[in-house]
Amino acid sequence: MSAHAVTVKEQDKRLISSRSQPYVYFKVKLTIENEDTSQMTDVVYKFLITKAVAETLGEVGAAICVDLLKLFGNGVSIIRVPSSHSEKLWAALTLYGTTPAQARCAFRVLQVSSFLMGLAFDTTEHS
Amino acid sequence: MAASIRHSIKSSTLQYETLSTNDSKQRDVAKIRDHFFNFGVTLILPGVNTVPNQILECLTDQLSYKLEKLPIYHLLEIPFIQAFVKRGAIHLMSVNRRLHTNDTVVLTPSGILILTLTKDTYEQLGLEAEKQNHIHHQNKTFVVKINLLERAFHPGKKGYDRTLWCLKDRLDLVFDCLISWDPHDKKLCSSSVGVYFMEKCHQVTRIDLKKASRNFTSLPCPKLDAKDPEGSEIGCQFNEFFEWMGALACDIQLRPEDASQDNFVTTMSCPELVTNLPRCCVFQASGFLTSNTILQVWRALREHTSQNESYPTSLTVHGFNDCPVNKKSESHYYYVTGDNIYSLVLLPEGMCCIYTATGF
Repeated sequence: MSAHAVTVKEQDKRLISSRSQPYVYFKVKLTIENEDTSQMTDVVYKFLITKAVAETLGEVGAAICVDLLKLFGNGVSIIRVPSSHSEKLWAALTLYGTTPAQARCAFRVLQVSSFLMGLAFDTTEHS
Repeated sequence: MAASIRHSIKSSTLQYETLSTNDSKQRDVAKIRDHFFNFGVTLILPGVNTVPNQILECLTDQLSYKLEKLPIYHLLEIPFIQAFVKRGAIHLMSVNRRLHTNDTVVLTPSGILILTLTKDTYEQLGLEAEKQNHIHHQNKTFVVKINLLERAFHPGKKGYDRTLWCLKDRLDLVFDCLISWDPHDKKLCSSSVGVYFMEKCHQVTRIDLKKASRNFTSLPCPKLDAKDPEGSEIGCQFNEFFEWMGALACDIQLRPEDASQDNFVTTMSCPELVTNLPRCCVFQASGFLTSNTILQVWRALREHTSQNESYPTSLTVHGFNDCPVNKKSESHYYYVTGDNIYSLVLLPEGMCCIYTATGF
């Protein structure tokens, strides 16, 4: 349990407020020049994320535990990372531009949330 | 800049509250009533294959509209205040706007028009803002609140005339807005508000709710001990349970813990101490939902659940990330995450818990 959690307990009421969340969740879209990402497997997708992190942060940085939770058909994915490493992952994905096969590519961060529930909808949909 | 981003991701708050389903203060109902602007709902319904009709019926009555290029001074006109603000609960909020970088507007059911303005717009407008808190001060945003139901707010009074002049002649503010109206008198039709704005803005479009449901069989479901939500021998931690609900909402399949430990793609697993749900239905609806509609869904859900209490049933309400208010008229902020969510979970043994997730 988080060190920042505050607990108030009464007879039938219990209130916990946690200000430090263990993970950050990203919704990311990968596009590769002249390539269809809809057929990509989750293993290849995860490999590209690991390459992106290794390229920016080196082998030690690549040891960050990044979980690929869901891969949608259009190159969009949901990724989970410990919150202490979230900025590093965000930077690495943004800076990554060429796949190992020398094709130009880009990771675009679509949504960020400290809760997985936060990525269930895109509330800018009415735009 | 980097320091600000780090600070803002870590400023997300998850609040957990336990109460009895027969709570004398009805905190569950208060929670719903205080959250005016809702984008969508996620329902987790164990033990069923289809969404019960009594829940679906709650979502059919409400009418919502998108108003394009609405000059904001139309909201100050007396016919609008008399016909809609005083005779029902009006919900209006701007869309296509980024909170903290653009101007935004909301009109709450309590008749308060809240303009969240950038420094440039505020200085040109000439209306007095509320005292800035430290976040508004940091972002150089100004909040102007106008009470449309104030007794002295009518033509001929200095305050009304000046407000109208500022919004109409001095700075013609135009927004794309979502609007919905729940009339106090049930004989009136809530479509009247759409008709009223037909000639006052560029275009009026009806918003239809998008609905989707998914069925699961043999689904692992973690146990949550309402009396000890920080983890015990018979239940998982409350934040792990919230993550499990999020996984269902995002259609993510969770593996048992043993199978995930050495997995290359993901190490995420279902929290320990699981029960097996033979059947479960996840229903999602999105569009623009008023607090009254959510309340009807909650009551229908409670009625449905009273027959089947052995598994946790939940209603999650997703607010707009770019909405300048969350609880009543309290400010909401969006710098990186902007989460604006709450969940009501009905647990076995007559217990209920409320999750409130707020980001920055």
